[in-house]
Amino acid sequence: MSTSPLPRPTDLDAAARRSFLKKVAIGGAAVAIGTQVGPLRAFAQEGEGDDGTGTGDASGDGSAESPGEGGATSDTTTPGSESESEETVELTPDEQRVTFLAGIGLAAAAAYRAATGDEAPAGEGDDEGEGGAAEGGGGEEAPSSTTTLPPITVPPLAEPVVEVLRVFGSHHSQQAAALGGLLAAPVDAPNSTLVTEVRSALDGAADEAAVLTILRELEERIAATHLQAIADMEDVNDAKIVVTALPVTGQHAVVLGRIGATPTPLEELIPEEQGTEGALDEAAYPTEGTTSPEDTPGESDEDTNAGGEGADPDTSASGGEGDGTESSGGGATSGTDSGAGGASDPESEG
Amino acid sequence: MAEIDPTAPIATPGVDRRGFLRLGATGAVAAAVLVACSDDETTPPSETGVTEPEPTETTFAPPQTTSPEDGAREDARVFRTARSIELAMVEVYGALLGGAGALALPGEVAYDEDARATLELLRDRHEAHADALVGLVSQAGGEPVNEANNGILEGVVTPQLQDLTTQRTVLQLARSLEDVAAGTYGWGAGQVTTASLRQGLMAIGAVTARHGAAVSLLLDPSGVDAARTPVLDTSGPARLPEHMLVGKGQDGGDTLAAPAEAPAEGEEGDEGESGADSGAPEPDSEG
Repeated sequence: MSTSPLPRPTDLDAAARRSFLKKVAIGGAAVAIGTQVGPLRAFAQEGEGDDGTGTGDASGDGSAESPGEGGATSDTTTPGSESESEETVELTPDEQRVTFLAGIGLAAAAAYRAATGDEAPAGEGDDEGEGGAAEGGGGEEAPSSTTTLPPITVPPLAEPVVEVLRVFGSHHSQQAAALGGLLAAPVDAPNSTLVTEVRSALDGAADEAAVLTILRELEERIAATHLQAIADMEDVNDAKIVVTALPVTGQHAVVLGRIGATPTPLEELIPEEQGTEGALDEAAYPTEGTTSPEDTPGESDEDTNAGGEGADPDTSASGGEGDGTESSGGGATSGTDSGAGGASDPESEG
Repeated sequence: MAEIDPTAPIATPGVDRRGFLRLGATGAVAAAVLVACSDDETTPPSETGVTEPEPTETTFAPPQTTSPEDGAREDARVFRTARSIELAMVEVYGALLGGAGALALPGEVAYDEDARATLELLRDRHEAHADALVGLVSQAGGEPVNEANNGILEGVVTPQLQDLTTQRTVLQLARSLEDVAAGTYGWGAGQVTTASLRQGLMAIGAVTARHGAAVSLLLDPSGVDAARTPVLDTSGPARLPEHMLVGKGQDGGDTLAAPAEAPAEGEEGDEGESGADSGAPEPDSEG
């Protein structure tokens, strides 16, 4: 239902975008997976060659590097390609939500890297300590370029726990890539507010149990966010990706609640219904690089990237493809309003 | 639209699912359970690329709905099926916990404390879901469904009863059933016509996926196999097949344990079951 204040792209635009998106999605997924390859040697024997462009791959999907500080305002307008596009592409409400969710997913992936000590560039972080004693934050070690995060210290984690956390982090990266595939420009910047918040919490964590609790609460909030988004999204095809991500996020929460030394009661981890309480909303967790929706009636959402403000160059984006700027997420609080009815026409796109 | 194969990117070990995905849509559920109950822990190699039946169709394919009537019918079918699943799960857990009746296990299974508590909790949750779905079926414009899904009970569980003699085989069955239920919810959310229905469905479906993780943790406490893929698999083999969906005029007890015979030539099987359990339900198949 297009009562949105924003003009929706025409069908032609949509068609063009879809085909473009396919390519972008592939690139995006490659990036997302690639970024996990470093730390995930155990899982991805084949993909070693991720090293998209040699930038610090372990730091991966941009996560960590840019949040916080300068990230939001670095005036980067698309490193590389079609950079003159300072004009921002206007996003539909669904696209704004997708952008927001992708940033959240990347932030979650970054949080897992911080927890496992994988923030440091590959090769350096590893020998750090088998126990996973994470000296997170690539402070000195990740000088990739733009911003660096202050180092954090995370308590040591048991190796099996680290293994699980790495898998979960990769899930978030891949979810974000899938979401990014719905957009003209993939999202490569994690939500910096969330990254900062979680890293800070991890930094103060006393022990493994505390780390697991922090991550579990993060998963619970993301699950709530997903369910909220499902109610708000108009296009069923956009919603489908969130629909398939949500259950896995919930599964993460269950596992995180149970693998520690003092398991959370199962009743708490398996509620009668998934709720939306605690959902993250864009007002509190703004997507960087947003431009007000009224700005430009952007039409060319093809190659022109949304004004990639917070995009961190490190992300090496899709190695050429969509090259990642961060597509904006409209300051418009997408958020939390019931959205309910949202009577989406199922045939959107049909 | 991004088309991702949820099973491809990261191959985490998964016994049941692997065998499950390899099989075609027909009989997939039963086959899954067979695998699940085999007590075979060896993990077949990656399944990437092996899933042949309609591999890309489901997860992100555009909806098939073509008219408001079709949409309404599909809404009802999804929710009625969901309730029949929940009713079936209640029966199954009751049996696994030692209940008598048609589904009674061949003997008493010795559960450890955690396993028993988990099975009891899941039974209770399914009861709550079944109750919640009464209202949701109505919201979706459907008539109430009061019978457990016969396809699940007769087609999937009953053939396995004799093998359910150990905690492990029971848990493997439970995990498979929860996965299939979650996959069916995820698929259904892509079929229904409004965002609020999607949300209502996934408020339950997401918890169902948690059930699977909880059971998996009993099988492998490390947790590494509990969340197997980045996104829920809703493809044909990972959800209930067509003949187990509750169409118009049916109740859960009317769902079939096996696909209906393909109509002989000349006959137009306009009843829909259309033999091939290809998964992708046709909206007007219940005409």
